[in-house]
Amino acid sequence: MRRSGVLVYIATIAFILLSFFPFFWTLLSSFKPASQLFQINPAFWPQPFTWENYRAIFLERRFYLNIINSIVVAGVTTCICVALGSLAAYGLARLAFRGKTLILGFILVVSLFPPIAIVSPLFLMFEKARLINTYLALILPYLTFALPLTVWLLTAFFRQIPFELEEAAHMDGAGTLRTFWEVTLPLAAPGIFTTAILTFIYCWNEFLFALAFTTNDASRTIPVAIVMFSGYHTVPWGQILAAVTVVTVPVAGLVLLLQRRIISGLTAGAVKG
Amino acid sequence: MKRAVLLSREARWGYLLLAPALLVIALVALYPLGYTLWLSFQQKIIKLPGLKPGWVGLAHYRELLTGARFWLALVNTVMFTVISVGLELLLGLLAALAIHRARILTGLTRAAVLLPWAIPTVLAAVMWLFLVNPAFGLIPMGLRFLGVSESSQVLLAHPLSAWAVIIATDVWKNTPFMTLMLLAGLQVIPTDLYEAAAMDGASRWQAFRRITLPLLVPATLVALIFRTAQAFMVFGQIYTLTGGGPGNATETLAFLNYQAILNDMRFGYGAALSVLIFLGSLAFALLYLATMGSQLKEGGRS
Repeated sequence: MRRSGVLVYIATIAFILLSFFPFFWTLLSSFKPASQLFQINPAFWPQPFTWENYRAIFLERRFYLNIINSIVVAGVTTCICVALGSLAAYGLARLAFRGKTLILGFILVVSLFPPIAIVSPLFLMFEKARLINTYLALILPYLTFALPLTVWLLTAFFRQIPFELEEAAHMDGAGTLRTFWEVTLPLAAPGIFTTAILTFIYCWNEFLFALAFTTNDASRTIPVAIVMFSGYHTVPWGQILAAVTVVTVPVAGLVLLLQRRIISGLTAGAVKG
Repeated sequence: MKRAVLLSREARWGYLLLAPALLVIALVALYPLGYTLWLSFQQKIIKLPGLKPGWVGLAHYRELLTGARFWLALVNTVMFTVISVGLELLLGLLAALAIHRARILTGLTRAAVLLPWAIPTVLAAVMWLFLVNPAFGLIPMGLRFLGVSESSQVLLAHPLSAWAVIIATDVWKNTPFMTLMLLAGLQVIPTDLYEAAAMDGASRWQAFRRITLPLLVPATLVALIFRTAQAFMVFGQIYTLTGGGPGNATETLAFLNYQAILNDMRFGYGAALSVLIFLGSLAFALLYLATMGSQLKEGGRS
């Protein structure tokens, strides 16, 4: 009994260390000068400590363009999804009509479908419409996975709100839309916020569509831009690691700040509570 | 449950509220999917404009199913999915049980769970690519220390060790998600069940087998199917870590499909492969649906 207790602590600590280590190593290495970065048997501590890699990605590579692209694409997609998704989720969670189960099932199926399956026609369509390298070429396909996710999560959140308040509003003569706007929406705000964070993260992390529908450095999103840093002959590891650090630090801050919300979102609709 | 009075009015509102979302899904997902099906019977290659475009029937499917590359990619994808998701389930279960019992450093643990989940898959792959770099990576340094031969330190140059790196990256990135789901499942198991079991003289192991495992099944199943569907579409890790190599040894279905479309510009052939992949993942989706069926119907978690 005593020994299994110790084992449990060791396992937990090992889990934490293993999760953090690659981040820690990336962070440390991003401050190393090239001479130190590329030496056999890497040194632990940056010596001398340098910001050169960070300077290079922002001033030479204009990495901020990629950050802006990611923010715009993920932000716009999230806004569209939350707007359309909360209407749909309200209907699914609150109103009685035929075919509801079927629609929810359909939305689940769409959320699991392989993104690669629509790359071929979308590429042809976007090329014809001259949409390659535009925000629209990413926002439209992002809706395919983000919208079902939003509807699904919001439906789960709306169902957690007590129905009585809305019934009272109905009783007082408020219509469906007014009840939704004035009673349900404020109550659902935390759930909507959580859904928005999750949707944003999923869009922020997307790789396949972003790789397929952008062809120049200035239009790429963060993940694609970082992978494309490598040339045919040289791999600028210092810059790659600096870029990974730059985009991971805000995510880490967000995750630490909103951890409870994110966990509630991930488990909503997945685990029966 | 006493629902509203005028059912037809309510139904009208229901359809109206759902219409925009469903319309958008139909436009951005179903229409291209139908287009994919149509394209899969067409000859359409951008790089060779001289080639006559047009109807080729099942030719692309025949080419796929009789070629070795498709079958290798299929075997690779299935193997990757089974091994990765299996390891993630096992390690996730161990981690969840430990974290659930240890109750130390909860804030730090939550961050450790969420951080690998929150970053893009390809960034996880980039970090691992750095760790396995044969010249200055930490892992080859460790191997050198253990006396592994120089050529074996180039992990991505050999099919087996290349797969090990890909799987390790995936396990590192996704075990936290599994842990989170299982932890949530553990937290809803009522503690009085264990007290009752202890009262009846059940051992720890018996309590684990008879209470914990069965009650974890719902949470596990959902996470499992979700991860399986995701692993089946694995692309980013392959693109970043190996580019399908050495040779074609680490090509997966999604990677092969991407190459066919954006490298070879064979849109019809690529669409045929897409249709096959879609059918495969539809099977997972239906399985998922069957699992979630009860939740869909009960109309609420209340």
